[in-house]
Amino acid sequence: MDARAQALEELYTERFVPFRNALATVTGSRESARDAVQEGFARALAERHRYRDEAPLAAWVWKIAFRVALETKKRPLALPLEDSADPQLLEPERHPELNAALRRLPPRRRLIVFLRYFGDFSYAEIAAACDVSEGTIAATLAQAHTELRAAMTPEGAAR
Amino acid sequence: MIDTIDLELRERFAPLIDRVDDSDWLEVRPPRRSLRAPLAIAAALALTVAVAAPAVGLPHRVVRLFSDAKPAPAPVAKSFTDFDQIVSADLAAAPRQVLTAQAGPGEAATLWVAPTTTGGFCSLVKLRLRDGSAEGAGGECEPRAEVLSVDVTLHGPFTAAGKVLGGPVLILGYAGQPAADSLRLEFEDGDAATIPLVWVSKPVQTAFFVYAVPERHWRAGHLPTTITLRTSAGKELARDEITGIP
Repeated sequence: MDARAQALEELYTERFVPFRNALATVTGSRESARDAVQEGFARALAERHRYRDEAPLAAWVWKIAFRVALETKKRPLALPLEDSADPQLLEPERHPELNAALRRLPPRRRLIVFLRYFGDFSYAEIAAACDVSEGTIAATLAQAHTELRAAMTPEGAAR
Repeated sequence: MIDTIDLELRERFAPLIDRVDDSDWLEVRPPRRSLRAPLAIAAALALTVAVAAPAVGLPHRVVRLFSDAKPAPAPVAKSFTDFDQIVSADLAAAPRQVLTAQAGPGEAATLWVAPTTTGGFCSLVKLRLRDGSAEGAGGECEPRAEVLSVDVTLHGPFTAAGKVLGGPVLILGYAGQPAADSLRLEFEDGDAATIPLVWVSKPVQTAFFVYAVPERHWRAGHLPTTITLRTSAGKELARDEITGIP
């Protein structure tokens, strides 16, 4: 097995569950998210010669798997791709307060939050996955944090 | 400040995290599309195409009757089933072995194909290495055959600069044109090779090829430059430029 294939296998072993959980917010179920991760890694393996080392491998694979997930939704894709998703919690009724707070965030910001807390992505990885600077991600997350915290206080929730 | 909020939110999300691990790398690895790299290759290592079907038709082309081809063994058939589940290919029949090609000394590549209900096909190539081990060498599901599709698979080490240090290096793919007879591969050093096709009959109706790149064509100055799909009369049907290995 070549070095890139080895690196992909290691990434898969380490990050399969976070990838699947983050993608489940896009596909709507754990099963379809699993399929998207499997197909995403399979495509990444097949196209590994296209990977350039300047971006984190996790971000590169995420982009592929994310596209697969969007394809399964059979919705027209927009550019940037992040704007094509409307990610949400899998069982929103079980977490009404958090869900309501998350729904107040624009879809792109919500996706970044899910990448951070479900996908376990670093700021650098999210930045590469979304094709923006790390500073932009830090700012976006700070803004999302503020909005979520405000929305989850009794006063905020009542808004 | 951000760290504090980050921790706060991490705690908030923690109970929502599904920790069930249903990963399976083997499901990802075997039935895979190969590297879709620009092509390469040469002449020397002759392709040994083993087919049991009647050899009829065009000079460089062997016709393989799908219904007469050997059914795939259970592990290969399972790979197709797994693949089917991943890409929803909707297979119309069980996979069959359509060609075996020499991949190097003591090494062989075998290609299996299964038709899909949409008129396309899924294919899978496995490589048996000289140490007795086996590994996937590519595979794909196509809703409809293109005129020419070519992949390169590398099964040995290569440097970050792209220098191939070991083989096998395979060129494989398919041609959807019924009039296709052969492929001509040209190289930087002026060499050329003819790659025969194996035409698989209905319901697949596509020609396949697997070709092992001779070692002398793994390095700069000797790499392939162009692959051309031709009729028996020499008419060009399709062409792909080759930019190097890998």
